[in-house]
Amino acid sequence: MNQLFKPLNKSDFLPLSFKTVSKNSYSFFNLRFKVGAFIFLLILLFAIFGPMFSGYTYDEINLESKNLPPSKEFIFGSDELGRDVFTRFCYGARISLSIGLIAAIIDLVIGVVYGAVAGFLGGKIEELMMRICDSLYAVPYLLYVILLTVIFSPGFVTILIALTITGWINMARIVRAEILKIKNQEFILAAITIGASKRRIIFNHLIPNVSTTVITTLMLSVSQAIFTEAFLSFLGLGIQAPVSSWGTMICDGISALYYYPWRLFFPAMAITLTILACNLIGESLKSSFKVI
Amino acid sequence: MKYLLNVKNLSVEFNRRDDRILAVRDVSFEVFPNETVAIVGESGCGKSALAKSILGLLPETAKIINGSISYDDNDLLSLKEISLRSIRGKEIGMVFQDPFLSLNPTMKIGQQICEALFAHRVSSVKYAKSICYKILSEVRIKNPEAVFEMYPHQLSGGMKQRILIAIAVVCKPKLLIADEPTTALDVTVQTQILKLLKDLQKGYNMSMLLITHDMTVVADICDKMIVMYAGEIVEMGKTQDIINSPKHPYTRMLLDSVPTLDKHKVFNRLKPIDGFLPIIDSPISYCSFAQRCPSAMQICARKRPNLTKDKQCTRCWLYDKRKSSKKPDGSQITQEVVQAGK
Amino acid sequence: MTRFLLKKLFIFLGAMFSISSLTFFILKAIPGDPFVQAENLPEEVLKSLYAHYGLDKPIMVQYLQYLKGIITLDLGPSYVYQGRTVNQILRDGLPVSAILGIQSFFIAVLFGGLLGSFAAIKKNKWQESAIVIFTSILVSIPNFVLASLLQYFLAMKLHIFPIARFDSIMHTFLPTMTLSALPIAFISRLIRNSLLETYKKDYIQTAISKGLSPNKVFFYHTLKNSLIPVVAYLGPLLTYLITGSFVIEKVFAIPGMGMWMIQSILARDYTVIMGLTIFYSFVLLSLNLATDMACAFLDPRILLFDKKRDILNEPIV
Repeated sequence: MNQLFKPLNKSDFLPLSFKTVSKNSYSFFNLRFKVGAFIFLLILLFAIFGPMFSGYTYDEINLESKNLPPSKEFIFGSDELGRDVFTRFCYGARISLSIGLIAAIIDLVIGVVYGAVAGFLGGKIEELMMRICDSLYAVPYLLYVILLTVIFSPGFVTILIALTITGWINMARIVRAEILKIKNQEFILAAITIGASKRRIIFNHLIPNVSTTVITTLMLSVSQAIFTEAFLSFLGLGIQAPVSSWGTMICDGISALYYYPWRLFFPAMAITLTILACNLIGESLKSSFKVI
Repeated sequence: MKYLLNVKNLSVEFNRRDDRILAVRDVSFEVFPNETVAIVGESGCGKSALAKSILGLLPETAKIINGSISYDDNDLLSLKEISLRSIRGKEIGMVFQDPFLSLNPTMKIGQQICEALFAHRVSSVKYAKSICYKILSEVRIKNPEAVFEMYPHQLSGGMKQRILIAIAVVCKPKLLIADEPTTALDVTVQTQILKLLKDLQKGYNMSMLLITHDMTVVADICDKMIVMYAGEIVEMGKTQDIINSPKHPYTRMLLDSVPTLDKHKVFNRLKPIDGFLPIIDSPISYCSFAQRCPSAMQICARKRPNLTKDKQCTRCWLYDKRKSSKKPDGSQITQEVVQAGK
Repeated sequence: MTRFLLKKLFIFLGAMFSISSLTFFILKAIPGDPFVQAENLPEEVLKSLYAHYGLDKPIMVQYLQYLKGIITLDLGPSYVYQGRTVNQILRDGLPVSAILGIQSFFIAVLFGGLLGSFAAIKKNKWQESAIVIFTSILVSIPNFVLASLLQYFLAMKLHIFPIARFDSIMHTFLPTMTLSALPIAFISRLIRNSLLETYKKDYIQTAISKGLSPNKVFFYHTLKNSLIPVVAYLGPLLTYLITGSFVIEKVFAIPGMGMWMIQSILARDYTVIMGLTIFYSFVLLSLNLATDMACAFLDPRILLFDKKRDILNEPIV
């Protein structure tokens, strides 16, 4: 009875949970990410394995089988030269995905290094570097692209060069902004105090810390690159016949829209879904990184 | 004497996706006219939630699950939004914690103060401006006319806090709630702001509810003190009484942990309170402080203590009347306590 | 404020100058000559053509003449279409493209703003999720795809709108709808995110505690501080409208500047390309200057720190 007022042995007493972190941590692989990744992988599968299944090549002309609707023989139908739309579609997927990824990665490398150096060095050099960026950015991206495709003959490499010449600017700006946020934090000061070289600070401290924003922007750059390539090809300034980019297929498809809608439908769906997938992945990364 | 603000059995719960946190548990207290009451406690003990619930400023994730808040015979919790608006600013004013973020950065200072006036039946711009200049000089800002036209980013932290105070008192409310008004400021500025608050309180005949985690602040200006821990009141009474003879172990440890410049004690170690504030997610049936309490007893782990009924009330089994009737060796226990322990 | 303005003006002139020079030298660097398309012309004819167009003079002289031309608003002749000048092309095509552009601009801002604000107000309700999903999809549809689809379904199949050309108000519907689709989606997302961010800020709490009505809080505090990303987007919006017009004018056979631009590119009509590029750049730089001023007006902190917040993390097409 008087035991109730005896001292409490703390180790017997563990009911109060000291939870300081919410047990609901935001899931990294949430729905948006899953949907986006699924679509992207699906398109990738089409791109890599599609032509093997169809048995045709993208420029194989069969004049007897013109303008056929989708069937067992021609999975997505055939166009006015009897070429298999499915195979051309898959080649278009290859072009879009490869241009998107390569251009985005090149932009990433150039942009990250430029932005990190500018952000870190600061002062007059940074001013100058950003002024250069601003003036280059003032002219619409696409006008440069168009000018460049005029100078060099249009094609895969030309588009790639055109995309990367101005694409890095956006990445550089974002990286610089992030660097400015981090630069003034104290662990950078600590690193400088113990004698780390500038190069070391940039590559070992600044760059890893901006990587979250960079990855998000990367996905969005991919979607923009894919759009731009298709846009150019649509206007006739990009990939040239007979290579089939989704853009050229859509351009051809428009004239035949009334009677043979499948020729427009498949590449149109595909490009919308691919861009959507990249945007979804980028957005989901953005929100999950914000929480972290 | 009639109370100005009466909070009875207030419980507030925060809901996030899977989480549920009981931020305020069964809190009751009164504020009388012309009185300064301090609410003291660690970060996370529910004091801000309590303050915000008075004016209905809780975020959407929060829900008041029990209790009532009466101001001048109106139950604030059941008031419609329109009526609540007429009380905000005019009857009850609030000063917030972070002066750097609490002012609209794209609006001139003068406009922000006059807005409060326009919301409460002042229509003449000239009149509002004159009141504005007056209040700016009352909060001890040196050149009211210049500051009137400035933007928040052109002012220092101390000045911004004064502006916030000005906004809160410009309509002459009867109750001023100050939610950690000095936490974000330097120590020298803190003293000035506190003195300002005290002077305004006296000058306007307001009551003040001062929320802080700094005991030193309380001693200077508050008549009554409420100590909160993990969402509930653990001690309540006159400031002088509590500081001179704290009852609850938590209060005692809080007072002990204040660093001192007393030359005899200055080289002693600091006395922190070990452990962390618990986060309560469902009603508990034991004392929330038991885990960190040096005088914890067996009963503390089994039953939740109630507030004693003295002038300086406390929520602790050490002071339960039934216990006080027993001898030190514990031989005379009444039947009720035995039942309570089972 | 004036220092800010002068600085921006200086940058504007500098950018115009660099763009003009850049365009000039790039096009001069293209191998081959502009008359290659024509059938094999005899030497003397080529020579006189060169002299006529001033192409026999040294490069620096041509450059200065070119700069002089820009300042006096004479953008030169077309090499491909004899007798046509760039100024003529502008006079013919500009009104058409301008109508299309301005219409799309206002519709995009109006509907995007309304949609986004609505989504923010109805937070956590089904309307918000529906709008978010809808705008995510809309943002991903390339404008040429949307143009073709709308043309197919609404014009060809359902006959609600005319299929092509730009002769009446009904003709403007489809092109404007297509052109403003992506900006509507983008602006609504921008404003929604901005409103939600601003709503969490402490000064909104201060405003409510003053006893202001919800409308006042929304318009004077929340909305005002949320507008900056949208205003900052207006520059890229114009860029998008210009490049989008190339596609829209092609699909709907609208005789505007975009159509001329594409034609001259395909025909390698260098002077026209140059002239139009410079014109576009001028329009863009002017609007960017205007939006910079608007941003500074909305948020006076920009004047002090001269930073324009890089809220636009998504690359704009």
